[in-house]
Order: sequence, then C-alpha cells, then structure tokens
Amino acid sequence: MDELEEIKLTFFQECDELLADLEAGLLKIDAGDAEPELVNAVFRAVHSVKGGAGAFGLEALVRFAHVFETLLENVRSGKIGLRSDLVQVLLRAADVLADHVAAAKLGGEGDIATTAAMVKELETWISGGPILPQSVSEPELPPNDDGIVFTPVTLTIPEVDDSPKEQVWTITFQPMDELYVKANEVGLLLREIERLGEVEVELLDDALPPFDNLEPETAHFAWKVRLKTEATEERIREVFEFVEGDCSTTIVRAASPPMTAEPDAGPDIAAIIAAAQAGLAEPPSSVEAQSPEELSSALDLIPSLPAVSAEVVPRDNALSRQAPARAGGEKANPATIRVDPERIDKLIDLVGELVINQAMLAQRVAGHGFAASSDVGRGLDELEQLTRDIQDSVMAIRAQPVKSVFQRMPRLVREIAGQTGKQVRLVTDGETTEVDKTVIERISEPITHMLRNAIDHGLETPGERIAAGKASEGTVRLAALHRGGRIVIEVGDDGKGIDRPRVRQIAISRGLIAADAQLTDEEVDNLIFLPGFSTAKTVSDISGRGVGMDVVRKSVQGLGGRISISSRPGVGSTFTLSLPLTLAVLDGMVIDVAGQTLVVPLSAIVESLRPAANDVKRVGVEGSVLAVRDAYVPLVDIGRVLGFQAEATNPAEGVVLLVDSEDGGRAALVADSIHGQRQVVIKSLESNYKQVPGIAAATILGDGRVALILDVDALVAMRKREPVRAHEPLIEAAE
Amino acid sequence: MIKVLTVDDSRTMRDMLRLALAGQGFTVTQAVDGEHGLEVLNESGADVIITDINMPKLDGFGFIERVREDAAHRATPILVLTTESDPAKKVRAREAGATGWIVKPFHPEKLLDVIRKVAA
Amino acid sequence: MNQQVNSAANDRRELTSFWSGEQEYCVDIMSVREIRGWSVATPLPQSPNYMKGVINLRGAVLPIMDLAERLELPPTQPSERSVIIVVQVGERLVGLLVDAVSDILSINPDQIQPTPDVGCDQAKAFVRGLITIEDRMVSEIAVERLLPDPESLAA
Repeated sequence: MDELEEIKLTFFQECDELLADLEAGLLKIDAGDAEPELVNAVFRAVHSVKGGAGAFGLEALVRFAHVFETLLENVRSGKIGLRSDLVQVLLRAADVLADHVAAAKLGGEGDIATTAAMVKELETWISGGPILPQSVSEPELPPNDDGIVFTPVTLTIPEVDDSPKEQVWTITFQPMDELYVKANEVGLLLREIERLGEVEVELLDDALPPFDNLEPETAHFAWKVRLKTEATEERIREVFEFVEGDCSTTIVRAASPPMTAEPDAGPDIAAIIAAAQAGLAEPPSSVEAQSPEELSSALDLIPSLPAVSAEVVPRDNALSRQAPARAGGEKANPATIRVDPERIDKLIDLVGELVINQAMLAQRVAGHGFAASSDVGRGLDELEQLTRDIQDSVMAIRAQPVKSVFQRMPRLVREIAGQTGKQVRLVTDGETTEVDKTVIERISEPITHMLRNAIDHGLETPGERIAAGKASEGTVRLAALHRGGRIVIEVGDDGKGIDRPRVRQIAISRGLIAADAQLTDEEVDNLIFLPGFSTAKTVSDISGRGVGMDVVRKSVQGLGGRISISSRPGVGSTFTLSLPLTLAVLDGMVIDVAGQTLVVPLSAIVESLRPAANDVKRVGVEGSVLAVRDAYVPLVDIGRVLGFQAEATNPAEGVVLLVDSEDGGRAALVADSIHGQRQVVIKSLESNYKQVPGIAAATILGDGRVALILDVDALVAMRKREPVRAHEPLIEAAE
Repeated sequence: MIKVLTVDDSRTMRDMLRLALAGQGFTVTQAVDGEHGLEVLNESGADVIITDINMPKLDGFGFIERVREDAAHRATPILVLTTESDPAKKVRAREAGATGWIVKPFHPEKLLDVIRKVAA
Repeated sequence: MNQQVNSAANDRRELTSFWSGEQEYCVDIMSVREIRGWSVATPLPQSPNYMKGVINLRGAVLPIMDLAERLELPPTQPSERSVIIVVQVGERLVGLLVDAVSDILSINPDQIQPTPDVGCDQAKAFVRGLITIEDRMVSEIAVERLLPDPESLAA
C-alpha cells in the first residue's frame, strides 16, 4: 500500500478515537464535570481532526471543523460560558463532525444541508459571545502558506517574476542577542541568501569591543551582503522571516550591477557531477542546482561566523540525502506496541492447534495405560495447565474493552430520543469489560436493538412520566460485566414495564399461544421474542426497520448467546444478554450419535436426562414427545435428522438433551451417549467446503479426528420440516 | 544524519512528518506530548525539534520554554508546527524561544526548506 | 535458436498422474499441495455421496471427495493403500480420494487433445483433455469444476 494511503488509514483510525474522546468529554461536561482540562481536550480533538483533514485536502471536513473549533476556542478562552444548551449544540456538532469523517472515509463529503444548518447554529453562538474578535460569518479554510495539500506534486518556485531579471541588492543585517537565543544562526541566513543568487559578503566588526570586554553571549557583528539575483524583494525578505524583530535588516536595490556579471551559463554537466560527488546533489525536484563556486563561497563564509553562534556543522551534512533514513520513530508510545492483528489471529490459531495436540497426546498416553499419578501423567497435567494458561494469555491479547461499542451508543440514544420526543439519559457501566475481538464485532447490533426497544417501547413520554409521578427524563442503563465465564450485557430502563395483559392478548390474537394458556409472568414477558410479535401500535420508524426482537434473539443465539427480559410494571424492564467471551473456542457437550462424535454447544442445553420408557409418547405416525415434568416436549432424533441412521434411537436407551429452540419452545434431542463437556476450538467448514445444514462448524478432537458442532436451531427446524425441503430456512438459521 | 524530534499528539501528523523526513537524510524520533518530548530529548537528543502547540500534559509553549532552560539545547532549532493563523500564537511561541514555524498543512518540500533554513 | 529452446521449456507442463478405478488421470502439479494416506473421514450430513466427509489437515478441516464417484464411476473402496491428493482450487483445498499415485508427467501442451464426445456427461464436464503417452491414455482433470458451488446447499 502507498505509504500516504496508510497514513490516511491511520488518520481515520485516529479520527474515530478523537471523535470518541470528543463525545466522551462533552458528555462529562454535560454531566456537570467542570474540569478545565476537559474543554482543552475537546478543543484538541476537533483541532487534530482539522489538522489531519487539512493534510489530506478534505476541505469540507476542514471547513466544518474550523467553525466548530472557533466556537470551542471561544469557550476555552472564556469568551463564551458553557451553558447546558450550548453543550447540547456541541454534542450535535460532534455528531455532524462524525458524519463528515464517515463521509470522507468513503471519499465523499458530509450532508450539505445538515452542515449548513449546524454551521449557522455554531455561528450564532460564536457571534453571541460577549466579545467577538472577528466575524466568522463565512467559514473559510484556515489560511495556510501555499494552500497546497500533502500530496506529491511538482514543485513550483513561489514568488518568481514572470519575466525574471537579475538585480543586485544590498542587504545589511545586524543580529541582536535575541536571534541567538532562539537558535537562529547567521551562517544559515547567509546560506539561504546565497541560495538566491551570487553573493559577496562583508563582515562588519566595527562594533566588536576589545577582547577584555567581550561578552560571549552578546551579538557584536553585522553583515553586508551584495546579492545578484532574479528573486524578488519578498523572496529575500522571506529569508529573514524567522528572525524578524531579532535583527535590524535593510534591503536596498543597487542602482547598477557592481559585480562583473558573467552570463549565466546554466548548470553544466561537470558541475552537477562534482556536486553530486560532494554529496550535495539535490533531488531532481529541488529548487535549483548549485554551482561548485557557489558552494565553496558558502563554505568560505563559515569561518567568519562569530564565536557566539552555535557550533556549525559542515553544511554537506545538512543536505546529504543519499542515505535512506528509516525513521527510528516508533518511540511514540513506549508503553504499548502495535501489532498487525493478523499476527495475533495466527497466534490464536496456533495455540488452538496446541490445545488440540495436547488433548491428542493425553488421549494417546492414556491409551498406553499410563496412570494419572505416574510421572508421565503428572507431566501431562502440567502441560495441560500450561497450554490453558497460554491460551488464556493469547486470547487476552486480542481481548478488547466493550468501550468501543458503548461509545457509539450515546449518539444513537440522542437520535432515538429526538425521533420519539422522549427525554433520555443514558448511563453506562462496565465499559472496560473485555471480550474477544470476534465477539466485539458482533454485539453492537443486538445492543442497538435493545436500546431502541427500551426507549421506543419501554420509556414513557415526558407527559406520561410526570403523570405517573416520575421525573420527565427517563434513564436507560447499559452495563457490561463478566459472569460465569461469559459476558453479560444489560439494557435496563425505568419505564412502564411490559404491559402483560396486552402482550398476552396479542399473542393469542396472532395464534402464538392458546387462549387459555397458563403462563407465568416470565413466560409472558418472553413472548415478545416470538417471531412476528410486535407490540408497536404503528410500525414505528425506531424499533421498526422490519426487525423485531425475534430477529435479535436469533442473531444472539447464532453467537452462542442467550437473551431474556425481566420486567416490573410501572418500574421498568431489563434485557439481559449473555454471550461467550470468544467465538474462537466453545464450551460443548461431546455426544455419540449413530457412531459419530458430535459437539452440542453448551449454551443451547438446558439439561440432559435419561428418560424412562413411559415418558415417551408417540404422536401420529412418526412424531413422538417426551413428558418432562408437566409439559410435552417434541423429540428430535439427531441421527435421523442428519441422515446418519434410518431408524430413530429409542430415547429410553439413549440420552436426551433438553434444548431451547429459536421459537422459544423446547425440544429434546436424542443421542446415544454423552462423553462429557469440553472446550473445543471452532473450525470453519466454509473455508474449504461450504455450509452444511444442521451443522454450525467443526472442531478437532483429541483423537485428531474432525467432529461436527451441531446447529441446534437448524436441527430442530429441520425436524419440523421433515423431509428436509429447500435450503432457505437453513441459510437463514445460520446467519 | 540530522536527528529530528517531532512532538505531536496526533498520530497522523507524526506519521506525516516521518514520511516527509525519512528518506531525505533525517532520522526521526517521535513524542506524543510536551512531557514525552522532554523525555525523548533527554534520552536521544535532537538536532532539530518540530513541535505542535495544542497538546495534552505539556503544550508546545511550555515545552519550548523547558527545552530552552536546558543549556544543552539552547541552540537547538525548534520549529512550531501549527494550524494557527493567529499571529499572537506565533509571537508567543517566539517569546518562548521557537526558532521558526511551519503552518499545517505543510508541503513536504516546504517542510524540508524550513528545516534547512534553521538546521546547520 | 536460443529463443526456441526457451519457449519450448517454458511451455512444458508438469502433471501428477494417478489411478482411480481402471483409469489414469492427472492434475497440474502446481495445484497439488500434498499427497497423504487415507484416514477415516468424518461424514457430512446432507451431502452428496461422493463427499466422503472431512479430515483434519494440520488444524484445517479438509473435505474429501471420491474422484471416481464424482465422475459417476463405481465408488473407490478406501484401503490403507488409498491416497488422498490435496489440491488447491482457488482459495480452497480439497482432498481427492484415489487408488494410487503413478507418475510425474512432463509434456508439451500440444500433446493434450480435447476430450472427444464419449457420451458421458460427467466425464466430459470434469476432463479438460486427454494425453497419450506411449500406449497410456491419461485424462487431465479440471479440478475447479469438481467442487460443488459454495453458495448452493446440498440437494
């Protein structure tokens, strides 16, 4: 990749971080944190976005950031007080800035109308400040030297006359002490002048006191330079740009050329070669070729420098450009190292192999009759422990705090609040909770849906809340925590809670439950996860989008997760989402079915039982159900559904795994036997083959053989549709 | 080889500077804020320093002042890298002891020109 | 003259040949990743008969296909002498179950003849061309046509 493109990627990455800091900072200010550094940090974030955007010529982004920054600068300098209504504006401006960055990422620009409206609002605040330094009514690009952005371009020499004519200038300058204090140097100024043309330099040492009185840190000398050049006066003045005020300078055009002017021969080949050999050759794009004479005259100047100037390094060092300098520059953050994520993924794969190999070794050793208490057995135990520790450590490298996902939510909440006319305060907790990258990438969507649901259906309107004796502003709490080797995400609201009679009524009217069904409160609450269930009175723009909680539940289950809701009327509801910490390994139950070893994700299993013969009831010709306590659960013969055997296993002779299936109902999977629980490394079937109905993935067991991991939902669905029909439901289930 | 220390809290800017300078005969070291800049300077030294102004912990002005307090770096050229168009900022940076300035966004050739202007 | 030698050398192709059933086939040696002995595969549900299942190839899940069965010939009876030729098809790897590896052939492209119409669709679909070496006839397999479409699920 082009290095500049790479930096652009860095820039967008950094933008995401800066935007997150910006929002976090504003939210803290909104919450009443008056720490002055917060305003500085917020300012810096916008400032840095602007700086980087300028470098890449992202003009729309720069323009907007500039107006935003101007307002923040006024806030920072105390010209404008930070009122809470201003903070709301700043938060929305941050959203617009984020939109601009997102658009720029795709090579576009932010929405013009939104931007214009926001700019107008910001400007109102800028001009509404108590003191107004200048009108910023027309947002302009911040001035810069040449308006050229950081892209490889051919160099143009600025300020060169259209019809360059050589003229002779007399320049006198007398440095003051200040010039040296700022580390400027006369030698370098002379060199710069010399770059403009032919020079004659005269040192004026009249002011030099007798040696006894010499102050080593005082400037005593002055210089007079005759310069023959085509450059304009401005160009000459530019040389003194940095020392303006630190020396007295006069630049006068001489009446006639005093020097014996040679016709400019142009750079001859010999001179260029000589220069190149001296290590002085400039790159082809450089401003001018220097003749050897010029160079030597410049070198001659150096001994005449006063003792007070800093040590003068021979200038060929300064200009030497042959050696490719690989920046030793990655020192920026000594506390962390940056690693290509692919390397970590590779490492995780390798550790996965190690785990499998360790298990294979253990199995083989056991097969040779070594006792667990023998030296070999103990050594293997230690190896197993070590392997697990390595696996945990490696997984920890890839673990990320959920912060990156949580950070996106305040904006979402603001938007939904705006659309629904509700007042919402979002409280987050446990942002530092870590989870594997494979999971992080996929929790954002369910969280988004849960938040939408909480605000749209959970919270009341301000009016309703006040009538109910609550604060007009509702609270939504988003929290993450580790529990039992899983990550739990909770989305709670202090709204009205689930309207159970209404949910019941809808479920009956849609034929989801029988009119006389006896359901616990919990069971009623969880009816909202049934496919096709929606309590919205109108198809809401918010929770709508055609996605109900059934889809959320399905996608969560696809990740080996579970989702549930608990609710108290008038007090609020809480969604609880529990997910594995990684999608690289899985806790599974290893079972035998028709001579095949299979793995069932533990997350799907409610319990395992050995049913008595009279608990199994036949229904119709083929179907049968199992009586579990006071309910009948459909029996699913794994071997038959997968086509491994023609005749179903007698459940009373095998083992039954009670599982929760996607439609909220239970099913009883029949297997021949259970081997036990094991953590297995998940291997894709698709990478070399393709998706297989009823199978979620594969793994490699201790004996080195591949075992398939069941997709419980798909399996249950397949049984219902027996004989297996077309593909679509299976693809769906695997999504 | 000329050793350039770049001090900027923006990774993008640091990378940009590295890209512009590396391969042009400069060794580039980087720091993320003024405090870090002083650390890196003490550890590895520098022939030229390029610093941002708006930075956390220790801003550009403070950084320049601290560098100038150190006798070893009294004569080290310091260039201020800034998007500021505000002349007051330039004046303040100069008062603190800055040698010159570079206005962002910079052209790589321009950057080299400016460094050449202050670095022996 | 030099040129001629070069171009002839450049155009020469190397093929790995093997026996499956009563016939000899070959694939481009560049597509062969590995040759290994038969090990029992884990069967895949809802899959065509020619898919023998999957095996563990150093941590990756490798699908195994019986070449003979894929060509609608009598299935291979896997034994200890059977061989799996691991070939790369695009990004994917697939193991071909065959009876034995026979030879490495170095041929000129003009030695390959188009497949004649033999009235067998499968053979025609999967055979790229025929090579005659002395009295042997070797069919070059078009490996990229063997794998089922990844998008489609088993019928």
